[in-house]
Amino acid sequence: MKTLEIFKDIQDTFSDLWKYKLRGQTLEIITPYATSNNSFVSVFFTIRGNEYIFSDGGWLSTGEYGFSLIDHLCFQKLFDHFQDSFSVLQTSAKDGTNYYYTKTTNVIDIPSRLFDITLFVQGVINSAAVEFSEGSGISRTLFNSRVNSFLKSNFNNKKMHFNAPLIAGREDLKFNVIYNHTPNIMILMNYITGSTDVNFTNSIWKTNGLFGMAEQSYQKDFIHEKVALIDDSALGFNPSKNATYIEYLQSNTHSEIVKWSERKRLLTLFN
Amino acid sequence: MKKINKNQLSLEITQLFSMAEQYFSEVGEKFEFYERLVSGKKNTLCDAINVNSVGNNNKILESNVEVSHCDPLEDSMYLTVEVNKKNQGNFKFKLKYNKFIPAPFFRFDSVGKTHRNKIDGVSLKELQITPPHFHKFNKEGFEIAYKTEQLKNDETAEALRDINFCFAHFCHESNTRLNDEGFPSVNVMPDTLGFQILDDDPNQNIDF
Repeated sequence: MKTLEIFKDIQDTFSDLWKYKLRGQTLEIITPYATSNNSFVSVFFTIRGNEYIFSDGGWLSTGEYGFSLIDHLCFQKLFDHFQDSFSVLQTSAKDGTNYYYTKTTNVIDIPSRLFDITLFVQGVINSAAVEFSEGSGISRTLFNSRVNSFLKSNFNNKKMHFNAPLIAGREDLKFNVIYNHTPNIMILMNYITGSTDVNFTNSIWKTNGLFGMAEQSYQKDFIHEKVALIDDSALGFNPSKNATYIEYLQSNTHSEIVKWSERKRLLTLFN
Repeated sequence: MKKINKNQLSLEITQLFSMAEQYFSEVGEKFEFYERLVSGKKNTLCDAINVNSVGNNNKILESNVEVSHCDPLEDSMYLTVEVNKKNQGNFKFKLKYNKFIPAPFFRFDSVGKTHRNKIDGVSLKELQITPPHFHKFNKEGFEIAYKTEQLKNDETAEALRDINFCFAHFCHESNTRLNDEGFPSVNVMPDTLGFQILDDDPNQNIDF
């Protein structure tokens, strides 16, 4: 029967796709499961005592598959669904990298745990590849990367810290840019963008809140300037709807408002 | 108020996602030009590339040097060497010409994810390309991974785990030279005591 022969051939072909690589005490297992951006999923197998552990090696967190985990409600729902369905656990390395893993003490369950973590990674990466068009995540990523490359090409990289916390370890007090003019003179900058009026307004309020918190922190005497960079090319930039919020941001936090179309002003502000 | 150009935004979004999928229509449209970028002789005046400072990612040491191309190009071309701070066996070499495409047009990965080339008429086994491997674009504009004969051979592949041997191989493969003849060398963190960090086990020290 020809179909059966072909099936056997398919089975052999799939079986040939399993690969491994020794990495210290851990075995990297390259699975035959691939993502929509053409990457085979690797999982990292470690035995600790009587526990058999499969991790993603931190690859989702570090963006090894070519995608960052995006800050978007739709994506978050998908992520939670996969994490829940495949009973995937989570831990963090000292450097902040998140690790996703499954584990068992039963030898018979080892292949099932591998199956779970692999399908989890595959589902998450395929979801991260989806364009969530109405959300703010995409325009924000786009604007951020555009501004970051403008700043990198115009200013001293060593003084410029991107997406950095004002106080070490305070993940809730991060700014798009902290520019250390000298150790005692710093400029904070946050980007305001959004693809809808609502997202744009939320972005204004977030910056307003963060600048306010910075002024109440013990670092306040070192903050020389606070700059709100407005993405006036964003779809959500609509002066009839958000101009009053921008005015309030300016008066409330005494911050400098710079429009992206007038970005040359940054050259004087940062020098 | 600036007029909002919705078409332009959606075009940029498409480009952003194309980057993630590593597809560039420009490569397909100007494939001869692309092939010249890769095969044309490139030259650098930098004899030692010192990789000792972090770039955009604080876990990776990075160094960029300018390279000249034998054809007159409108803009500068750059060669980037990236080395993972914790695992110096994890390195990447990239050639970039941003005027053409924003992603590297030719690169090498020593470790990392395994690539699936999506090409009909080739067995699935041969389409699975584990690292170390090179990346380039095909005439349709899709990025593909490949191994040279030296990377396929276990013995030479082992020797190429050394960053300097491997860099010479990359320069050979991309037709890049130092002052038209030799190959530049790579010094990783030359400002520190010269011991090599090879923390290749991602699960090590993780509390599961």
